[in-house]
Amino acid sequence: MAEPLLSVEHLDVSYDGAVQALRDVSLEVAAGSVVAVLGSNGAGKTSLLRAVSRALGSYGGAVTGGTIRYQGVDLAGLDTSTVVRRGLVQVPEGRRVFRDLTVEENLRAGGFTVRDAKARDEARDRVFDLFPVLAERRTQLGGLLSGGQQQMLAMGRALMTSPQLLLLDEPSLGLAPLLVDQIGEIVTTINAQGTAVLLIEQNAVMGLRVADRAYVLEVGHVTAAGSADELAASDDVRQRYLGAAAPERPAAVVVTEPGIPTAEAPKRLAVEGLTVRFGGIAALSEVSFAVEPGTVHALIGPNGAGKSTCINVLGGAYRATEGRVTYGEDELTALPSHRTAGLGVARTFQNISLALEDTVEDNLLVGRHRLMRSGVLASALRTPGARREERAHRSTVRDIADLLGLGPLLHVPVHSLSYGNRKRVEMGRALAARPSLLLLDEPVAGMTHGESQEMAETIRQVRRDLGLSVLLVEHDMPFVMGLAEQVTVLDFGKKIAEGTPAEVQRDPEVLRAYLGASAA
Amino acid sequence: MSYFLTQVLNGLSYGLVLSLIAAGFAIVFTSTGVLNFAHGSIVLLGAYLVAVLHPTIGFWPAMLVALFGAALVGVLINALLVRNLADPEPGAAAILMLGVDIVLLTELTRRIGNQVLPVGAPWGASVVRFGDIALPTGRVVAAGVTVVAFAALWYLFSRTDLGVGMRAAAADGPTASLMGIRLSRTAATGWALAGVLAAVAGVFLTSFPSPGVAPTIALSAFAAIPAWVLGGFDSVPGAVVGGLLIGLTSALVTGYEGDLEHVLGAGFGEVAPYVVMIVVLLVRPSGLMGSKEAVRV
Amino acid sequence: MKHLPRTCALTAAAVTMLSLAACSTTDPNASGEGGGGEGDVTTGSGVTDSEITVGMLTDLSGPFAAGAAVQVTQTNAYWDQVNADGGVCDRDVVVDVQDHGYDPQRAVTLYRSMAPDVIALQQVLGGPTSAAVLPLAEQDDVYVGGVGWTGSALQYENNQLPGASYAIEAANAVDYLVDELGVPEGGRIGVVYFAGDYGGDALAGAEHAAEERGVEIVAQEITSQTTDLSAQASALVQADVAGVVLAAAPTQLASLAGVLATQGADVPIVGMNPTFNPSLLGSPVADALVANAYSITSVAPYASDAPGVQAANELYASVAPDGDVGWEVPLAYVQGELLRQALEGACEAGELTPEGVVAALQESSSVDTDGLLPDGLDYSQPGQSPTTTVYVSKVGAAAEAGLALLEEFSGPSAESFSYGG
Repeated sequence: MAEPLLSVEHLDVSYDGAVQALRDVSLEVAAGSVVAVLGSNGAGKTSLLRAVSRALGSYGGAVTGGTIRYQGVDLAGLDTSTVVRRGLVQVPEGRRVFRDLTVEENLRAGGFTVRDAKARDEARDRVFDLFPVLAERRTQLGGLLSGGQQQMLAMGRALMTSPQLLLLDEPSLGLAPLLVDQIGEIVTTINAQGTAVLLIEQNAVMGLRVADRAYVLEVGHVTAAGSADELAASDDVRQRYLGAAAPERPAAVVVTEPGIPTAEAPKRLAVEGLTVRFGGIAALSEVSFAVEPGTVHALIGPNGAGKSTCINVLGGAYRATEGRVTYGEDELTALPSHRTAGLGVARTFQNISLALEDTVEDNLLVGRHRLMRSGVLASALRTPGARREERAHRSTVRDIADLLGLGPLLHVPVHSLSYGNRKRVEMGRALAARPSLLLLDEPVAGMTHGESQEMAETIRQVRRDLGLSVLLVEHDMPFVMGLAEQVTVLDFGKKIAEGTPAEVQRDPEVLRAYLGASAA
Repeated sequence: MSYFLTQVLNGLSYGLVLSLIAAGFAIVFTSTGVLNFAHGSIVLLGAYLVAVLHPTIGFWPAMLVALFGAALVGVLINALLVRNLADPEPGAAAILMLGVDIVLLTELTRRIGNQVLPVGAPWGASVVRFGDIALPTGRVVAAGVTVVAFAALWYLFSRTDLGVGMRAAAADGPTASLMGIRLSRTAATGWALAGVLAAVAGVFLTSFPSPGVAPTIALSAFAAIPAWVLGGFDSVPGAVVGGLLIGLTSALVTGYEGDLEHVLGAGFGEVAPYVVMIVVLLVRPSGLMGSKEAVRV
Repeated sequence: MKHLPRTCALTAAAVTMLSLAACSTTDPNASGEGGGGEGDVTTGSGVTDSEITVGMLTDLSGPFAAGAAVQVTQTNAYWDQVNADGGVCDRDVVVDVQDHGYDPQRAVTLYRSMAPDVIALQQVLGGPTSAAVLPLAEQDDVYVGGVGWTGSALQYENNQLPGASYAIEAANAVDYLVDELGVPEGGRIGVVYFAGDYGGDALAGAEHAAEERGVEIVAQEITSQTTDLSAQASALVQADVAGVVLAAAPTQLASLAGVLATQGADVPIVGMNPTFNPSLLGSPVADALVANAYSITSVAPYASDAPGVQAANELYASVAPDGDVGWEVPLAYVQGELLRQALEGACEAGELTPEGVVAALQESSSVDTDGLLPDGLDYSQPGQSPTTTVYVSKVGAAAEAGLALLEEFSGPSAESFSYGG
């Protein structure tokens, strides 16, 4: 058997000399093959890629044991630039295109190490063949591309060096299923042209479909390895990562009495003829729907459908160009954004925006800000009134933390929490303002099937215990199906369907536009 | 009318020199994230090198040495100090730069003493006349050189691998390094470029209508800070526009001080650049051309 | 607190009268107060049987280090010469030189630690530093010399100004422009000045003189960072000024002269004390300077042939043959000379103490310095300039240190100028 292109043996990686990210990881990538590494957030997948691409140093990480050999050469002591020149390139997680550079300049930066002008022109032509849309948009800024196009640009950028081994970090993250299929096909095409691929994914469906071999990484360990088919057949993997065989979890909700002062009763949210334009482009056109008091309503659609724009208008971050949004008697679209919160509307953000160095409690207290009565002076002087008020806020925050299962973590800094728990803190901060309507922007983005099931349970419980309405924006269809009473589907800024999850799931328009090839 | 035009041309030509300095601030900031408060003394260093070398080796060779010298000092500051900073916070780096500035300035001040050292520019104190408007030849040369320098910068940043690599590194360092771009090289290039621009500006700041190299030149370089800030911290075109705006403002406010004095008080010409800066930042907090700290929500 | 300076002054006056009385009645054989053999003098801080210590707070590491070094060299040489000739009051004078680096805080600290061990301060160099030390020294009744020429320093009765203040210089400049350099009545004179004490004092003098002489002032305020005076020069040309008074530094003189010349404005520029430096004659604007630049100084310029100046220059040449020459050379010499006269006055009065030196200073109503400063300096009028006479020089390529002395000059506006009036 020929020597593998890449062999990782007994690799240990730690950050800041303390946090151990990988322990005794071994894997191989044969020349011309596709290898997938599956695992949930925090499993150490990204650390593995960084170790191979020699980029750990800039994140404070270091290889503390084991070896990485590429083309038979030990990579210890080499820097990123050197391994790139030897044909080993990483595409970073989250695409990370250079937003202020044009598509062409992005590719040029990708081919930085290629000194031969002819070789580079050929590489660029290959990239344009593979991604014709990039050729069309070659003079546009990277930041103006859609999510899927940015992923293509990120891959095209790496292909500029004509690599022998391409490292892909979560290429399907945050993309709609149709695009995930497309990216999968592209990976297969790239591989067919002779490039070996090491791909890390939490979307096991995608990972196992394109890979020859796969490894499962959990908390820094390899827990399973084998051919893609073997793993796809393994019950454990199916249950954990594919969601296919996973039974609906029993609704074992511990009904606690949260003792949280009840918010005002939820009111009806009505969106009527909402249109939002940026420059000449309509992000939303004449969208209307209503959220009935006390229900969970889902707004779904592929990337770029206008979901985030819609929630940003509701939260007051964007102005509506036309149309109106009313909550009960109040017209949200006529109010400045800081007043929205005063009406009992709170939101979470797609990208977690927490103060990482502060404790969970402090982050949750930020959500109480609107309700704080003591002035700056009274707080600073710690008057009895201010102290009493502070105690009341802390107690409310503790109740919310208990409800979300964050009780034991109250005094832990946020940066040491797992991704799922951070998402919970984000939700808790919104809940701390005692809203009667909670807007959730992609609450399970980046979570494995198992994690998103837990999140669904949390949302159900919050709705039940606090009696509020929830509007959630999501593109994870199965997640929404088990949770929402009503679903509104957007595509290209227009409403294309509405109804119960079951109705929407059968709508041929939705199947075609949203679920893509795999649903056909 | 010709008085007005004289003041406008004075302002614009001085503004171009300021924009050279402001562009140096902006390039160092984008390539290493450092607020380079030692830039003023690098300007002084460039001019000083020309002043001490030109009597022996001639003006142009001295100029060449000064360009290399200033670039080298920039590269060394980056390699020896900035990269080894234990805490790579912008604040820590800025304070470090203030320290470097004091060290450089003290040493240069000691060497210059109370002399005013002429830089020996070949255009001397001659003037170019356009009708009844006289403009110092040095300023006309400065305008020409500045335009050429900015054209070269534009070419570098949009047409060469190195320039595109530098922009990529500035936009997202970790990702750029995954493309094989060595951040240490792009950073060094940025510091060297800023040094070259500083030396060029230093010579123009100290040749006629200024008499020569005196330590206060390092302070004059700080007049470029409002130009840099109002152009947007990270934008070279912004630095050009900012420099022109500041040059024009101070020339006109000073030139019409007699008429404005009753409204604005004496000496307003000295604070006018900062007033313009503050007004611009109130209207556009990220400067005229700076990239917005936009977070997609 | 507020009354303290006055109390001190009264005390000083009382001491003076006592010592005068002592002087007039002294029988050389009768007094035994000092008990130290040689002289019958009371001694205080900084004085032993064999030595008198004077302090010098200067800037050896800050922006004025170069000029300060010349002054330190010359001051030491001056006192060495005095000591070689027998010293003062039969004692050698030693100078305790300390470096304040142009930092007022450091100057104050140095003053505090030095005060118990010196009889007087030869010099506190720099505006902000001397402004910090002067009030403290006044409370302690310690003589301070060499703090420059700003009018604000005159309010301290322990301070000895080496010649005319800036306001007097500027008033003379206007007088000289009108009387000698052809500025007509009703004409305009530009005043370009640094914001702050120095420029402000000069502007006040120029404005007073303009009123007296019926001319109009066109004022332009700048800072030391302004090294390109194109805009100011254009404004002056636009205002059609017939002469310019400049209270700034050499950089500004060169720029202004150069730009005015290129704009075809052939008008005289009269600079105050610190505006000229011989190195300007190597710059491209040398011709413009030679054509139009004048310098008004309180101290006779280096090129003066007065015996005092010659002595100062010879002394400096003997201790620093390769040193930079300039206005610091006669200045440092005359500052030493002024302090020597005050020390000797105190000695004669039998009060070789800090208070005695201040008292001797306030007694001196007609000080002569062999032509280094105008004759007849009057330090008995607190708050006013000791003289109205200044030296007018013309920038000249052939002159030593670049300045050729034209005349001693005291104009009518300078004579009518009075601080606080």
